[in-house]
Amino acid sequence: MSASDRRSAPRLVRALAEFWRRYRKNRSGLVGLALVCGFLLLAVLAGAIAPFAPLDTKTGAPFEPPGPIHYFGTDDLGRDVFGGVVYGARVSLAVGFLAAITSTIIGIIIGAVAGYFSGWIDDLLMRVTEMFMVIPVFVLALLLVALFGPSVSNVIIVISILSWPGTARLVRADFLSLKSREFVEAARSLSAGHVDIIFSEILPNALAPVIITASLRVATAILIEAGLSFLGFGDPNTISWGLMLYWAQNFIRHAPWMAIFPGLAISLTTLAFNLMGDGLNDALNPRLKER
Amino acid sequence: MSSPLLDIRGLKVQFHTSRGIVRAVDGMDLVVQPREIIGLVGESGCGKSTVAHAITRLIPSPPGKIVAGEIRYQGSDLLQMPEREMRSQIRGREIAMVFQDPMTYLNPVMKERTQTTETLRLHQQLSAVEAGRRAIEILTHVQIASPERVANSYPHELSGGMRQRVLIAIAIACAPTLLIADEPTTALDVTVQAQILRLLKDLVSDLQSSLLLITHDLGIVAELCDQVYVIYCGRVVEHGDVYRIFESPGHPYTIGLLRSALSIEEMKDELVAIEGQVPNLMAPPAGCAFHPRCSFCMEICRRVAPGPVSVADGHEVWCFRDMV
Repeated sequence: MSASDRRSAPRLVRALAEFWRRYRKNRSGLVGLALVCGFLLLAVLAGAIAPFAPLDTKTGAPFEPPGPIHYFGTDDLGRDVFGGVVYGARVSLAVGFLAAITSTIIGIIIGAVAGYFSGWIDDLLMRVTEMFMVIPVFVLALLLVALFGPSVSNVIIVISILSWPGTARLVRADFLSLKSREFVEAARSLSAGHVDIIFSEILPNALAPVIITASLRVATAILIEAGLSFLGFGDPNTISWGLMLYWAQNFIRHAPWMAIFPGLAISLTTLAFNLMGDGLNDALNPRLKER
Repeated sequence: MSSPLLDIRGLKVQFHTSRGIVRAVDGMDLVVQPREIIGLVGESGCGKSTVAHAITRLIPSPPGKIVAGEIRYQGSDLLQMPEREMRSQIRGREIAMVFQDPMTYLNPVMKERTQTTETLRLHQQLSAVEAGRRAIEILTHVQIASPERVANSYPHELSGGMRQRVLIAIAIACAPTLLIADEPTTALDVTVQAQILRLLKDLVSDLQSSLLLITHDLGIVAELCDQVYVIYCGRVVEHGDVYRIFESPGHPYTIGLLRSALSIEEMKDELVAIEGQVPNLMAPPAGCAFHPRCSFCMEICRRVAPGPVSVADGHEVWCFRDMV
């Protein structure tokens, strides 16, 4: 580590502190962040938190209502609902984050190329993007998962492929205006090539809205995954909130806790990521910075 | 005299817009000798900056197009050079630009350390540590007192003068042979202007480079330049040694420019301006482009564009008045 690296470390800390100072001002953003952290902890520490493994049958009597041993009750096969909710966080968050990251990367690349080069490349890419936008995502996701088999990785791939268009359009719009800025001209006069200009000059300037949408994208991905599982198109061997809802369908009158708790978990995570996106928007949006 | 560093002959640049063809540069000749400081003077919109962009072949195309002429740099025509060679050999390395507005020409989300060494990273493979060391060196070279602090700053954390120094640092990172400065001090306070000009002059003599200074400020020209080219409507109307031009300007336009600049020194209450407007470059006047604003206008000026008239050694004027 060189001397200058050490000097720049506190600057990073300061930058983070500044970010935090702005983020903190948004109450709902804080709630969202707390919830997201909570669910992350749940997912990471699932083994330590859940008293029963989620797929173990006969941990108690079937349809036991919530109580001191089975906090969220048990289902028709005597599986612990609390364990299911805790372990289910792993799948939901993994699908949410991975799908959001991949779709954001696809969106950035397509949007950047379209916005930067414009002309026929832009026309072509934007028509493709629009095609993806008019297709009802959920129906196509169902079809693809049915075709390729319901595994967690397939679900992630399908969600990523279907949810990049929003990001692509956002990035394109920013690139259209940023590419004619003077610092891009300056970089070009120093013989920077297209790849340099796209990724190291323009992209960092266009990142704030992308990060915000990415956090909202996590929520959508979790919802789609839950929806697929609920309809029986999720991975049947991996516990997830959607799968638990699928199991609960026939017993909703008899044992409502089977549906209530995983449903609550889905709503809360979705809400959490939306609130976090809101907070990020306030903290990253340069126009609100001065306040 | 040695062969010229840069030799522009008959350069014509046009912009094709929906309303017509703009002849931004219309047959320009310009010579830059090694280690010379050349001033390119003219009003806004006379094609000064277009020349700079043409030299580095960075005219936005479309709509811009270099339609004629040649730009010889150390003997080879830049207009014929493959784009790849332009990038690897010329831009940033041989010819570098210093831009006008230090705020907008710096990437707002990039630290100065990174921006300063961008050229070096593009032209020479440098490790991150080495690049960081070089950044400090270069920033010291442009007389920044606390290079370490500046290197770790973002553009918005620096003052205008400091940002301009950073822009200059970026340009000189590869020790270019030709530096093109496009209105380098227009966005700065007068006191800072003087410092920046002094710096540019020192750097150019240190690096043994030539400087092509584009400006509308005759004071800057008088202070810095060896040779002056006065541009009007995309054409050279007068060029010569800086002392000659200031002592005995030949072209009515130059005289007008000088008079408007000198009105302050002579303590006149009134600002002396050149009558009229810069003509529309889509439909420039026939004959001499300056004739509608010229107080010496003759019959011939309305019909025929004047050729160069040599009034003294190396002092040429494009005006019929000097023929007599």
